[in-house]
Amino acid sequence: MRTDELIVELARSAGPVRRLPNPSIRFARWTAASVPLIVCGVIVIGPRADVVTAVSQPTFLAIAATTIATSLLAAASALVLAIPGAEQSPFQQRMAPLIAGSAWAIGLAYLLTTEGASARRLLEWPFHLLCLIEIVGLGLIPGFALLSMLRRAAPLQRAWSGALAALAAVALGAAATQFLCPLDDPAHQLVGHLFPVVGLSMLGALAGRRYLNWMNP
Amino acid sequence: MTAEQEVQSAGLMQQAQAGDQAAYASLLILLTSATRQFARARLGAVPWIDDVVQETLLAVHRARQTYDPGRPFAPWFYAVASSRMIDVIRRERRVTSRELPGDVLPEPIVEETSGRDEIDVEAIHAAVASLPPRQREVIESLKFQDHSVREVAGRLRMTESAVKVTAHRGYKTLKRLLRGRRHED
Repeated sequence: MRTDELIVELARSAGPVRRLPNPSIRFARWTAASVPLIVCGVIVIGPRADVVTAVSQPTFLAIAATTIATSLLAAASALVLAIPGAEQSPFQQRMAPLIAGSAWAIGLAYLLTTEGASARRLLEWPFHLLCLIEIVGLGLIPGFALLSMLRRAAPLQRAWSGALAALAAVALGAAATQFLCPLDDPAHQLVGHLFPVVGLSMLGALAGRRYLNWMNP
Repeated sequence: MTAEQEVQSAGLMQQAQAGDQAAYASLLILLTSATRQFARARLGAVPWIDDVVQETLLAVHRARQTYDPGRPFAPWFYAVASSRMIDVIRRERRVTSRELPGDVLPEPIVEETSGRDEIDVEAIHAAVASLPPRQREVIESLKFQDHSVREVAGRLRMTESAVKVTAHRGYKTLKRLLRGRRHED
């Protein structure tokens, strides 16, 4: 097809479009829908018995804060990245959630080393399938909601967008799981909560490459 | 893109988002030359500049709801154009890495063909004619009329992927039909 014919064809098929709201508005909508949903999920499943004691501990709160920050920064980055030309600086935009995620990992590693016998505790591989199920289950709806929001935009970096969307969803699931799982052992938090988040985010990159192809939907 | 062109493009895009087809056509014409200049400046005089232009226009079309009139037009447009240009470059590299120039091709090995393996053009035409209408149209356009996948997609109002899938299904049906015919012979 010649370019002039393509122009005629595209102009003929172009109807009015509903403009996408600003990424910050879309982010606010996603957060407003996802956070209450996650809270409801925690209430329905039933929080850990010592939840009141746990939330009064600074380490618990610090870990929860970095996990939630990772999730929210990842969601914001994914939504910005889905708008062509909206990314201010690749480093700032994509690294912010990774830095928050690193703070979460470093925090856990620090707690593990200060408590001693860190290598042995890690090698025991305290992974519990139930935690993985809770992380995935709680992150599922926010994840699909974010992916469908990205598909309505035009993500040019599909793998990055997919990874960030998955990170946002599963980190939110991991934050909620902290209120369900009674094990505060940093070795378990690393192996059973953080590693699944990293692995699932990598799978999100693969899914993004495949399912965020807005040029050939 | 000059500052004046940017202002003009932003205005036209706003009108296009509201459904003004004439404004949209003007915008696409403006973007055609902008994309061509952009691609030439980066790629030189490659023969597939038009592919970059067309891919960019299609991408602008599919992403037009993401343009925010409160933001400058040029970063939005050049982000789309760069991404499409990179995709076209990758595709061209893939194609050229699999192709051999004519002068290094080995001499074709001519073997005597038995009557059984000779191509029966009439049988192929008959088999194509018996395909379902969509498959027949796609295969005739691709193989008998030598149109590209993109041309066929444009003419039949299908996506390029749909054309490839329809052609693939058609080939499978053809294979089955021709095998059946051979067994009958």
